[in-house]
Amino acid sequence: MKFLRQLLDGISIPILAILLGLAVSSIFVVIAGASPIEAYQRLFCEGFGAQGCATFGDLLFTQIETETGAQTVFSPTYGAGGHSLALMLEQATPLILTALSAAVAFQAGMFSIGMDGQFVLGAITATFLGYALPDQVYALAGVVDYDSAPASLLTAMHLIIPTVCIGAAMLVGAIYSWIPGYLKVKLNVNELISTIIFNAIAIQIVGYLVNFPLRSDMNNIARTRRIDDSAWLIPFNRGIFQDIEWFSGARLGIGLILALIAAALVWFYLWRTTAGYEQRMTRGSGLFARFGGIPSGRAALRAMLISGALSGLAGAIAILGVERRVVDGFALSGTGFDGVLVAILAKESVVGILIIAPFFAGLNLGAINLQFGNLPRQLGGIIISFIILFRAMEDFLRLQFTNLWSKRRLILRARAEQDGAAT
Amino acid sequence: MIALLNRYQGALRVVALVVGVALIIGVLSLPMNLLQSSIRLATPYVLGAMAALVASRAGVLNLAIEGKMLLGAFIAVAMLYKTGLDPLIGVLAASIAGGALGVVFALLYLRIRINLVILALAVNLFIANATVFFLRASFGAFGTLADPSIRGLPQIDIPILRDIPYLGALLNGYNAVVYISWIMVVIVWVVLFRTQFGRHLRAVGENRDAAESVGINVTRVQVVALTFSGMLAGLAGAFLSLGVLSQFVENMTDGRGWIAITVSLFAFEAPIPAFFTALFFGLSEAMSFYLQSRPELNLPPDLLLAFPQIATIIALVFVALRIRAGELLRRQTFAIRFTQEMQKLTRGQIAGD
Repeated sequence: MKFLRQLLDGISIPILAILLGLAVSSIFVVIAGASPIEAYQRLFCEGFGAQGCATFGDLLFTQIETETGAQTVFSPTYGAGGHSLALMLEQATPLILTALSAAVAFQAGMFSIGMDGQFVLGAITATFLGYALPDQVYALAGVVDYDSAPASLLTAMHLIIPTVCIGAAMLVGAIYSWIPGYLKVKLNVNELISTIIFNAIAIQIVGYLVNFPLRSDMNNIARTRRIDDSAWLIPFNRGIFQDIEWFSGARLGIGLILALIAAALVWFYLWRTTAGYEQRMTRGSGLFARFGGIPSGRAALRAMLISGALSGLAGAIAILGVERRVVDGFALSGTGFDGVLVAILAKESVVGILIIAPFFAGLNLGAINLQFGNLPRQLGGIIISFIILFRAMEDFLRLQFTNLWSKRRLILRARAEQDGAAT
Repeated sequence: MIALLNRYQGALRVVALVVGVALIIGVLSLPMNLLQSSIRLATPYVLGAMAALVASRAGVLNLAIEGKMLLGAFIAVAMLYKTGLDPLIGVLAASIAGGALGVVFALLYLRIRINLVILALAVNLFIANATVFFLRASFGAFGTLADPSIRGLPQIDIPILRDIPYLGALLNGYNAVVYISWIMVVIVWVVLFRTQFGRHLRAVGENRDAAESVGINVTRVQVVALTFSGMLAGLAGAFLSLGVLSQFVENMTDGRGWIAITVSLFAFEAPIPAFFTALFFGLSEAMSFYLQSRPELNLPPDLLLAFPQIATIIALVFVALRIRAGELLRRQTFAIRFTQEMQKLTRGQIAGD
């Protein structure tokens, strides 16, 4: 019972925030001249529904025509023609990792939002190694390319190359996040401002790399070479779940499993290790932690390193599992910043991130596909900003509710007394 | 280190002066069109830095300048689109819109007590999305709003200034917002340091509780400061959209709001130094455009665009070093005086015995 009440307490405000955010954003839908209910149906169906979803009810149960007649099926498992949920999970994978990255940094009192920069640098590192390393291996083994390599070599490469790519991307991300961390700890440079500027620098660097040294062909939009097949984290729809139609439309793959493992490790690190305790103490009060014998600077720097590594991992997975090459403009995708928003919405809790990140990804996905009347996809961003605002109003909302509740109780009591006096 | 700096203070001052003069001569010997474009490009930084320092002098770190600038840029263009109004009306509307957003920001922060950083992130996100949303919903434009009916700000020709040989070319012929930004620097300085309201504002920023205890209405001061700050940021946005290309482009502020905050930090939140710092940032931006326009140098454009950002990081580090040095100096002075006092005390005790 106590657990239930806690759970209710924990999720009531986020759900209220989401509902209020949707309600306020509907004003914008009306201004744009569309019906909010239809727009939201479209939004949620594109983000979370099965093929052919048209109303809110279809999100749960859907009518399908079979040879034996109409039949009602449970939508989330009905995957004919690919399911939006698979696509949503594909988009949520890097988001979970960048949100974890933000949460680790926030939990050390570092308001770093440098996830974007670390993400794109990790991605470009993974891309470069993803085609350059196999080339070297093939040259050493004396074969031309993937198809002519012996099977034993390929097995080894399929294991080693992605690991090396991911490791290098994590290293690059960690280094790039260490710089603002060091500036904050040693010189007290505001980390919010410095990470924003570091993001801009990283985006320019990646833009330069894609346009000049790593550009592969004279394609209209500059792009790098595609990573070798041996570096590719083969998605489920090409690999083990080839026959399940649910996965067919999405490049969802091992990345999601890695993200879940990372989430478990982050939870363990934050709540079950000394280092995690140290960084949480540092966040609470740096001075108090120092007097308690905790090297607060080192704890904060460690958090920044872990945060950067997680963002780099997100970038590596986005490349090795999904994109397979960096195209000019990839750097502007904003996955890192979305991760920050997810972490804020989830109040830096790991479980919360695992719930909010898919929701967020579905909302973005639905908004992109929102070709409804005159509605631009920026509606998604508007909804999210309002949800964040209402989420941040938590204390205010709670106070209002308590006031309402006590007022109601007072009125009831007064009425009861009146009734008592009358009889 | 500090002791060394102290000992050679005179020599250091001379060196700093020589370097400064050399820098100024070097800058002034740059091509005239480069200098003019850097003064022009410095305008959003000047106004943004004023916005940032007014707010932070009142004790509120205004991180939503980026959003307020973008709103100003959008409103300015939206006012003029297909109405053919005078561009100055667009500038005025942008400034009012920025001020209105400042009021909303202040109320959300002061009344409902939303975390300042989260509030700023949400406001920036909202403006970035809402401008593009309305671009499409109200004007049917995708990402860019340009139309012949949107007239840019005209250049102003000042009669006497025009005839002065070097300064005339350097200071004459910009549009109205550039001159307004210079006037604003003076106004901000006068308001902050020469009026009662400015004293109250600085007191609130220094120590909120103390200010409250002597009867200053802290909330009112902060609301007014944030409104003023929003108006300045809106002006900066109007310059971006009407002063350069007379069109609105999706996310056209492009991080300038954040750089403006750095400018104000670098200048230790003082208006006049902030003005010159902003000029330096304008120069570095103009430099990156200038070098881009010369293909014979064969420099990669993306790395040149990172020029102002790298300058910003270096500026941040310098600010931090300066603060740290000041702290060390104070600590050292305190330690010396403390030992002296202690010695006096012990001597007195011995004499007393």
